[in-house]
Amino acid sequence: MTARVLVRTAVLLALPIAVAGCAAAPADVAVESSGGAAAVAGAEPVRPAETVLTLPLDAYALTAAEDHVLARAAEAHVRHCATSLGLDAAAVDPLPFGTAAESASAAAGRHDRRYAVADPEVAAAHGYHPPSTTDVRREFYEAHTDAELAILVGATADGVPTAREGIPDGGCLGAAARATAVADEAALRAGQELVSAVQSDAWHAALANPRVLDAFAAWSACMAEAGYDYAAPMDANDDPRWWTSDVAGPEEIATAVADVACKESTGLIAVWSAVEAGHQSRLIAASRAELDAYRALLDAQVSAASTAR
Amino acid sequence: MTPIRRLAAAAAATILTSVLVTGASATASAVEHDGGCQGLELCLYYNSGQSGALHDFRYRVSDFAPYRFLGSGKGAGTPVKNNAASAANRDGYFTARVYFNSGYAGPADDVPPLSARNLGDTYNDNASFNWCHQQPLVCG
Repeated sequence: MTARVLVRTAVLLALPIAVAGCAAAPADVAVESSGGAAAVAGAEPVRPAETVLTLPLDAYALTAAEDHVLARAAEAHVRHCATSLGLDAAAVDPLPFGTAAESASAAAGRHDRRYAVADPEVAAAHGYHPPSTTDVRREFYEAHTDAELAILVGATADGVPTAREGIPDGGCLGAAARATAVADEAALRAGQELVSAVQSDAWHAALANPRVLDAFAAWSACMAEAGYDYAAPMDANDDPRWWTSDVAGPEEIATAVADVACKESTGLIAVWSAVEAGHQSRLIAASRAELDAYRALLDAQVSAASTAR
Repeated sequence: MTPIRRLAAAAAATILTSVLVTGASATASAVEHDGGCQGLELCLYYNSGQSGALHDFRYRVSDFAPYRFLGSGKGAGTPVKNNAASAANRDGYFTARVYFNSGYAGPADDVPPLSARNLGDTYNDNASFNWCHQQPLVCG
């Protein structure tokens, strides 16, 4: 069940990219999915490619293809490292690296919940809760023995660093991350923090922007007509009544359905995301040199990973 | 089978374990919610630069409302939700993603493996957090 949900999410999110022209993705998904996942995917509506939201700062994140190149390089590094430390090749798996389709779905779904629930079918099924996904980290730790984890991450499942000699810091996964980083880690972190700061400033600027506030007011009036009292969309998402349970109840689902309908009828997300994109562009221009230097580090990383294999 | 599918298959085999772990608190030595920042945990701090009182989490949290900062440092007893200024990720592989809104919604701050940072988007606006693979950055 857990596995199916993971695959289903990947398949569903991969579809817009497939529609946008990546011919290999659907075949890849269909071949690799379990029968159950394929059936589920067939029952889901295909999200049109134009509904995938992009923002200017996306230029300073890895694309799906770049992400996949780094994943392949890191994975090769981990396998070599782990087997050279005596781990049986079969015991290395599972590893937390995805397929090209999974990289594509992650990139396409990047902003899916940026403005909280936006898809009427998701709202009807899950309310404000995210569609069930697997706890990827729990899966990884529970699928390995302590002896395997000592080699892979340099610690046992209870978080205690391994005492075993000759294991790199952070295990083979830590060593692989360093090997594929190429750039000076401090410079990479500084770039990540700059991107984060620009994103944060643009988000907060958008929340104070008159066009966004007008759109919130229109949304709020629409919600009031449906019998719900919220000043702003995130207040509805963050209503404490929803978050005492892992699944949505009927009241939450009814509210979320009305919310998405009001977002659609007032054009809220189009306005909000356009204003946010405008603020991002303005802030990117103000830090262009630093951001481009960070992008060059990412490019160097991808290029080194492509030639290393 | 690809690695993530193998991972998924392995997970199916450990559902019972997951249920047991979910149902009971962890028995391991690095216990979460104990106010000590230990291996494999995400630690949220009341002040910038990983100072002040903290709360340590081992597993993802869809809403921080039930948790308070622990210990005797500045901010101890204050709700974690919307009051964290900085974070440290003690997991060697997984990225911790801290969200502005509950249920992993809104913008987010990433805390890369074995790193610490002051929060940006979610500075004093942290509502939930999830763990993510790095390549691809898929969150659970």
